[in-house]
Amino acid sequence: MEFSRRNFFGVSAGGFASMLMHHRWNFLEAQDEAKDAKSCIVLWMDGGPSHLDTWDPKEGHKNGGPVKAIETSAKDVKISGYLPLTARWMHKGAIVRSVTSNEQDHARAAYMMHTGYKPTAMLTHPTLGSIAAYESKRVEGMPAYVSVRSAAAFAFNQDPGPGFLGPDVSPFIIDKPEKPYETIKALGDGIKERVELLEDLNKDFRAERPGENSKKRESMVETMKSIKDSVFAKALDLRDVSPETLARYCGDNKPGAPAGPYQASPTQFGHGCLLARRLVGAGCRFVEVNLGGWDTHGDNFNAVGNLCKILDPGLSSMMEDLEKAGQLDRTLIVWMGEFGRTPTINGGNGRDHWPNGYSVAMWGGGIGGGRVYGDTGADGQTVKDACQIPDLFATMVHVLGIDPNKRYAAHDVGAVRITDNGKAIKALVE
Amino acid sequence: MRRAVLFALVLFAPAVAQDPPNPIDASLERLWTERGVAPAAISDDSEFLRRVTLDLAGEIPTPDEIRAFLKSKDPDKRTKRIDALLTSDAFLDFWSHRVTNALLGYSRDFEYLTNRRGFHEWVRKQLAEDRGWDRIASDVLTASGDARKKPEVSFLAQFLEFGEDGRKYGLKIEEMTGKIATTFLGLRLRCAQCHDHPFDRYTQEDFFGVVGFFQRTGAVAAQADAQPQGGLAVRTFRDPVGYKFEHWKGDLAPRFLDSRPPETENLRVEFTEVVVAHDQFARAFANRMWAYLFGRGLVEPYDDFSPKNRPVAPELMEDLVGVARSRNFSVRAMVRTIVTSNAYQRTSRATAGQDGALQEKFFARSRTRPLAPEQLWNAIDRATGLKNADLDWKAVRRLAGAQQAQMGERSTYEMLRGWFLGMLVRTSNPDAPANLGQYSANVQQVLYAMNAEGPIWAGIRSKGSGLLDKLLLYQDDPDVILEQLFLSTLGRLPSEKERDRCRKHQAGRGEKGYENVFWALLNTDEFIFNH
Repeated sequence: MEFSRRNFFGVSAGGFASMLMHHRWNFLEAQDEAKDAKSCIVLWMDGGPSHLDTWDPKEGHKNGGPVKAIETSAKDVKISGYLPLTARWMHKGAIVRSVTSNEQDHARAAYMMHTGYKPTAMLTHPTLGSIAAYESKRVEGMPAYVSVRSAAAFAFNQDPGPGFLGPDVSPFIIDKPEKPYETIKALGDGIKERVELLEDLNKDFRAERPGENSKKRESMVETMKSIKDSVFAKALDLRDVSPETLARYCGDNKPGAPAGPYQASPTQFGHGCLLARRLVGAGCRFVEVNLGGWDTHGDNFNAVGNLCKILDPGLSSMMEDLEKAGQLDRTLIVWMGEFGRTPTINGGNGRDHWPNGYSVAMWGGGIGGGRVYGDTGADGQTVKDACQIPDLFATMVHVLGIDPNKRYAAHDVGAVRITDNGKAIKALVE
Repeated sequence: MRRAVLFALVLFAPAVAQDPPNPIDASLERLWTERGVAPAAISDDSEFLRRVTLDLAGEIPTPDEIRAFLKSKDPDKRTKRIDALLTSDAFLDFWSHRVTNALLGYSRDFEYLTNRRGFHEWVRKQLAEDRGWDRIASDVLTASGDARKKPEVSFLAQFLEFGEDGRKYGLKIEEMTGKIATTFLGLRLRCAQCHDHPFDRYTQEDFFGVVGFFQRTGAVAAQADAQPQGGLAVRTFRDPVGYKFEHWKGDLAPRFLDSRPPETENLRVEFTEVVVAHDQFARAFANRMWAYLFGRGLVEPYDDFSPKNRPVAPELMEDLVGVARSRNFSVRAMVRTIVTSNAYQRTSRATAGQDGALQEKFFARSRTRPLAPEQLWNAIDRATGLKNADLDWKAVRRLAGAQQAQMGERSTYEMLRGWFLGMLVRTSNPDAPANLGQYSANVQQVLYAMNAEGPIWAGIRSKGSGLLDKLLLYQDDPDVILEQLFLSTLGRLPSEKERDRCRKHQAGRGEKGYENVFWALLNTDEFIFNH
């Protein structure tokens, strides 16, 4: 359907933002009928994770290095021996082994994986998280989109945020995953009394200058009065978590200094997975959890082995708890990074950037379990059934119950499709 | 006693002293008569001073500046203040940010082919020398070379891209054309990139006719012998580069929007000369300046002129084109013309019995609008005395996520500033033209403005240089403290009602009570909006 951008931008004094609000509320009425709104958790492997030493092992070939391929809970699906706990969950998951692009730059590739589009200077596309937030029903007192990433860990992770969809659907960033409640706690005692003073001082000014800006501001300020009692704050407050649970999510890792550049404390990711599970359980639509340190140009196997000791307990515990709560089937979990690593091993025992055929793994949410799509051959260099990023993006969007062909009005560009002409991969979703 | 004198001055706000009759007021008065709109009163001195200081210098006035301004009986004091601001370093700082953001967008971190810092310095130099918008446009549109050595190339360099396997490279000339059209002509042509638009004048063929002027503009490795990954430079070739487009298979014969073919072989230069000489270039410039100063364009959004979206005051639009031309597209002269008008100096308060929305639409009342990220930072900075504060560097480092190694390069203050501006950009999308006038923020922005991790509490609690720390010497006279807090934040004295409310909160809370009052003032709408 063609539509005129004039309808959105030409006349209304409220302009773009009011169009968004209007648009979203219209959508909400339709959504109210849908009972099982889906959630999504993206585990973002910052730096470009080695797909060969995780989901596409090449045991027996020199490109495979020392990594063993182990049996999993899915028939004929083998993954890396670095991931024994996750191997028990492959009957619920699917691996795409043939994601293909030509982008070797971290920031640009991260943009593509987050938005499904190549970066352009003309507009910023929304991330999957912003799209999910935009399309979903809000739960009172819960941001729709949360991003868990240590402030120190996102050097490459240029999450472009909501782009033209605007700040209403930008992520709430938890940058202290081990103490996630701190940012709210930092409002301090007596916030209610202070906000009451503030609102009294606002009264005359607002009365003399009525309008949308004042209204929006008022609702934001009001939120601060009660945010400490919100379901969001409750999910962030980890005081009720037992040491056993934390140990299950964090494995043998101990909190402490980063092991390498762009990494965070080794227990941040485990906390992030625990948070993701709690947030989704409380009605959050989209959570991204960051694990940095995958840019393994040197000493690849030790580095990946150590990262997997962080990844494996976090990911498998999250799935276990979601399954127990009956939420795994409506929570799509995606493991991805900006690209993969070269099949050949360089002189420093490392692997370099490789966008030509790499893996993304998904579980739950209605994705077909125990499946593998695409193949990279015995040496990792021969890609079969290549999956372009827009198709991967369309698959995720489709699983979340959103039409990949839907179009949004971007402020000076006109209609922009949710995906760059991508089509969901049938083999994974039917 | 002093207080009584100040109030008297505030009550008798003088009429605005004028240069030769300002073309803006005559046009708008005709418009109001036609539309049956009564204008709001002229702002009082403190309202005017805060607004003009934010708009021209990107910051708020200091209590000393406010006191001196309120006290002065000079009938020309507003114009004199405007001229002082226009020739200040702060004007160059703030407007060079504005222009840089207009041309490159707020940072998105794909900047290894552009040179944002160098470009910003270059823009500042152009404004300092008062080179016109037409000269700035010509320079950026005709520039060639490596942006790292020649910063004005950055405007085109933002469209450089690597193609397949990183070995082919060029410019996204169709996006570049779209950006040039919105930025310099106020035309959103890019919609025509993918399809003809039923409601637009311009077709896809028209669009690619304009794209055709850039068919010989391409990229080379910045240094001969080096890998292209070492950087790219913009260059004009003798022959077409051979660009291909997803939505266009037709030819790329260059044509202006009126279908005229070029007269010379020097396509990019001829295109630029035609653009900057065109009335639409002057309209787009005037409208952009107007939007920056009113929070809304005569055409709104300010970069979307079309037959269906005409100026609310067409005569005024043409008057401003005349001003732009007669003053050689000087940014400073255009700003001066606008802010010396009565229209700019009207109050933001609603007028009893008038439709407030209609008043705003026809510029009969000042719009209450959000601060740009730099304005908000500067306002917090100046109000609290943050710049010279002894900041908790460990807390700032945690917040900004800086690695130990980076600490040596930037001060704690710079790090906090960078983090806060980045957070504001992320949570308010200042690139969207509508957001000049519309408050756009998410919960996280408000949370950081209110919690102890953000700069507001850091400023309130900073010892030594911090405002509150100094004021607490006057604890035996609460009014002195309250007055200074109101002047420092809102640029005016408190009303009796406000004094009572603040005293009531402060009573029994000691220092903590003053901290809370300061905190509340820094989070009021009156502080975080320009009005």
